[in-house]
Amino acid sequence: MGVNINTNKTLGVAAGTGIIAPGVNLLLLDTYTNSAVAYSLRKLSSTYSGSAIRVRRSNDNAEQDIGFVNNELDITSLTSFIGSNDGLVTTIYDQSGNGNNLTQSTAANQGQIASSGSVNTVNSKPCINLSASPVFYQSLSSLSGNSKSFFMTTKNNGADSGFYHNLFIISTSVTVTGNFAQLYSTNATNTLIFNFSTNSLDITTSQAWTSQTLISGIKSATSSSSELFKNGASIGTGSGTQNLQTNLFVNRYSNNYANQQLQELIMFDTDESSNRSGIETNINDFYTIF
Amino acid sequence: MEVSGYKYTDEAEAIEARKECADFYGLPKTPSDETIYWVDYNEATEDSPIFWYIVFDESIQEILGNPTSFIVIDQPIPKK
Repeated sequence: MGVNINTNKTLGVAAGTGIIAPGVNLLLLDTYTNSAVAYSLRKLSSTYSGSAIRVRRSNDNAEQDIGFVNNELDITSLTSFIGSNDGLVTTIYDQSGNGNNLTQSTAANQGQIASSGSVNTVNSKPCINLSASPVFYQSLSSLSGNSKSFFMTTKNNGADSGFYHNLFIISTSVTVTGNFAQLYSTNATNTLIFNFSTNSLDITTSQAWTSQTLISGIKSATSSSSELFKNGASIGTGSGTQNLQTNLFVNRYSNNYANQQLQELIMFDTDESSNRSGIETNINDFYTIF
Repeated sequence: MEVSGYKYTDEAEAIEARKECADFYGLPKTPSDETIYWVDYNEATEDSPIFWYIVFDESIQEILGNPTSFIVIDQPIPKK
């Protein structure tokens, strides 16, 4: 059994995941295993055989799963399906293998992947426009444990709504917090806040996310700490202990929503400090953010 | 915040209004579809007494009639 490495990031053996066929592209979750949830418009795992998203077209409400071609969103199938209509996302499939899909069963609350037949993009890569109109998604009982690492590729897409943009919250419900952790912003030009029910873990920054941004965060139960990163650089730390709820809500807490263009959100129930740089490099290699 | 929409003092009425909208648009289109509602209702949990409401959208005016304006007390940012 040999190891086949070339400049196109292909391996014959993937660390930690057993053997994969020589020549198969090594994707993010092939190397960094055990994610809790993994949502993306690119393929993240060579062992994932499902679709990227499920789309409802605006003219007749028909739905269709959209998968991947060459590890990227199958734009041809998407545009063929929606024609000159809008494409709304009902489901963002979980590529972690855990089946924790992000779903929205109400038409009025679904984000948009395409407008009048044109696929929404940021930096030439497809994105889902989540607005304060309001749009949100949820994945219930998808998380566990009291450590969390997240990697989110997003960009603000318009004015503030209400008094804060809720990018995501881990909480009891969409209106009851419990032991929560949330990423929010009161103004996309100058605030980015990783916020907990335990004050000492809070990280409040004056960072903008008005351009395509990779936001990473780690809340570690083992080191009793928190840290927030923007485009691979640390932008703040906290310390303390706190349990975490298990439900994930993207783009909403109560009547507060965000205007964002989401491309990827990956979460681990573990402290991924030792892998953070590698994960961020993988994301940046694809999206060319920084 | 001021909301333009449809206010209900009984949750069952909000559920029925939601169903009327879904039925009007033929949702769900097939049993395997994710989309089952056209609009959803919200609960004004900070108000006393609690009420339920659907936010106005032009697409539901034909079904639910003309909207009214009313105040919903915002839920505060968690902890802050």
